[in-house]
Amino acid sequence: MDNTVIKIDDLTFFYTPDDEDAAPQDVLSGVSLEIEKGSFVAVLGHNGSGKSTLARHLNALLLPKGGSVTVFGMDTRDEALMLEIRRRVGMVFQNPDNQIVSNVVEEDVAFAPENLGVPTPEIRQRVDEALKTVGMYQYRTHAPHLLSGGQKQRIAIAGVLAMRPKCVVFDEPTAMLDPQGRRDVMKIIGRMKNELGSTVILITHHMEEAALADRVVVMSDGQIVMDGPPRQIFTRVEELEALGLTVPGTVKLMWELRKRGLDVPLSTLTVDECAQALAARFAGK
Amino acid sequence: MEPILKIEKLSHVYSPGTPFETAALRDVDLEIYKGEILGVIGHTGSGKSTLIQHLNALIKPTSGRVLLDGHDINASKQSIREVRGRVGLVFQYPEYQLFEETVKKDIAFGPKNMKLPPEEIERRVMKAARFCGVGEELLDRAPFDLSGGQKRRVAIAGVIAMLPEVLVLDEPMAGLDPRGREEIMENILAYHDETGAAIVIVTHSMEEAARHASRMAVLEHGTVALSGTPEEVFSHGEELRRMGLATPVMTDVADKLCKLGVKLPGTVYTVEQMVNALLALEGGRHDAP
Repeated sequence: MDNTVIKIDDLTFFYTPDDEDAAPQDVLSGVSLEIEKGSFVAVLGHNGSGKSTLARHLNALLLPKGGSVTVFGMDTRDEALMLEIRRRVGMVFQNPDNQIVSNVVEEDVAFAPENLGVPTPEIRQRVDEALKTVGMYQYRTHAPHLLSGGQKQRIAIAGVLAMRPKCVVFDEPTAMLDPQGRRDVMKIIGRMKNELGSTVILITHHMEEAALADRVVVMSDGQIVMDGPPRQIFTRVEELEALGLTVPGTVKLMWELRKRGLDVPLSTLTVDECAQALAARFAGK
Repeated sequence: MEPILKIEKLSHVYSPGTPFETAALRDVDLEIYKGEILGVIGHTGSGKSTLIQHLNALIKPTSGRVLLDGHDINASKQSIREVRGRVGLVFQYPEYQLFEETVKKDIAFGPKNMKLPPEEIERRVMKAARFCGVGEELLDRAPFDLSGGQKRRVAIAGVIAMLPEVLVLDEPMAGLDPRGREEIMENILAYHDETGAAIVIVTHSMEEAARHASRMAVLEHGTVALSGTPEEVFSHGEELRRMGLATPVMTDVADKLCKLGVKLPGTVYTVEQMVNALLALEGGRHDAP
């Protein structure tokens, strides 16, 4: 059985310049990528590498200038399929304040399913479920503008979940959040993958978040330059740094120790792994 | 030593007398000294942004005072004007506030408002551009043609061009890629090192606070819950987590190592400190007979 839910084939995109005589510059040039059902893919890349432009192609917010994007078997260029596509692929953006429309939490979460024409009793059920998934059910009658940034972002995520999408694209969802807000969002992503079987695509500048994904795709200047499991990608320290990126702090530490001739493993992605490897090396000293 | 800025029993209430009344700051005492780098951390909604807007009289205290060299900054129009020149404030996502036709005009906006002579404005623009890594070839371009990281640096240069004695930045690295973050931090440190200005930096990154701050203040629900050196502050791991914050990854690794029976001396909070602590352990073994 074919498990591919997103298939990007030789995608090219440029924004039309304001100046008619100026030559358009490719933001994406020849991107091909297949994403499997239920996977959690992190996309890394410097500012301007084309990550967000790529993300906006996944639910037809942008359409290819060359090549094609197929989601759940539907070509995004087919206008008749746009609603179907947006129903299946949800988007969460960086700034929660720009994503909240209502004065009451549960009304905000109900906004999208109402627009989709979901029957009222089912909306109630979906809203409650979504709010429970993000851990904000007890705030359902509160005013969103009085919540913290992290809580608002959880409401925005609930709004997307209430559409019951099969795939959710997160575009730097933690950039404006404090450490607790970041932990909460990552916990929700884990729950979406494990309990709902959702496909998750996470665009981020936080290497620690990317380390939690099944697969890491690295973009640079409109192209995919690396693709693999985090344990493999994050051992390519010098290449990542040359691309303006970095590695999780735990890998950086091991890299520095190895440079000084200490025999420690490089790809320790978590605090536990790192501490255990170090304890094995330094026990009794 | 006398602080350059002294915040005394500062409280700020938004929408007083309405159902939306919220106390954003409550009895905050804080001092800012020449030449220090003060890292301010706190959960979203803890009052960080409200606090720093008081530092150059953008908003007025509901009660309490802010003193610049011992004088109340809100005492008169004159004192407000003075503090605006001496304390520079860089907001979150400052690139959204670029509006001039060229990069040069944007950087010159602040010094022009200070009514400085044209040659002094020119000198400051060039100096600020250099501090912020804004190349001369960019000065005549429209700010909107630049990349996100470049725009951010232009916006910061616009504040640095006023040569503030206290440079206050609200999450200056938010939304940038790792190299962009490094570059902005280097620009800020260059200004600090060359001018001896005090830097106040609000951040959600414990790693960056750990690496660069000489002192930290932790806000929680409008009060200063903790303050001290990074070493002192990060030794309160449990409290920080309870406040919605965290400790740097290296501190977490050190704690875990301790539980696994490997004790490191002191509080470790940066990769460099961790490398040195581990090399010292390794060295200890080599010295043994």
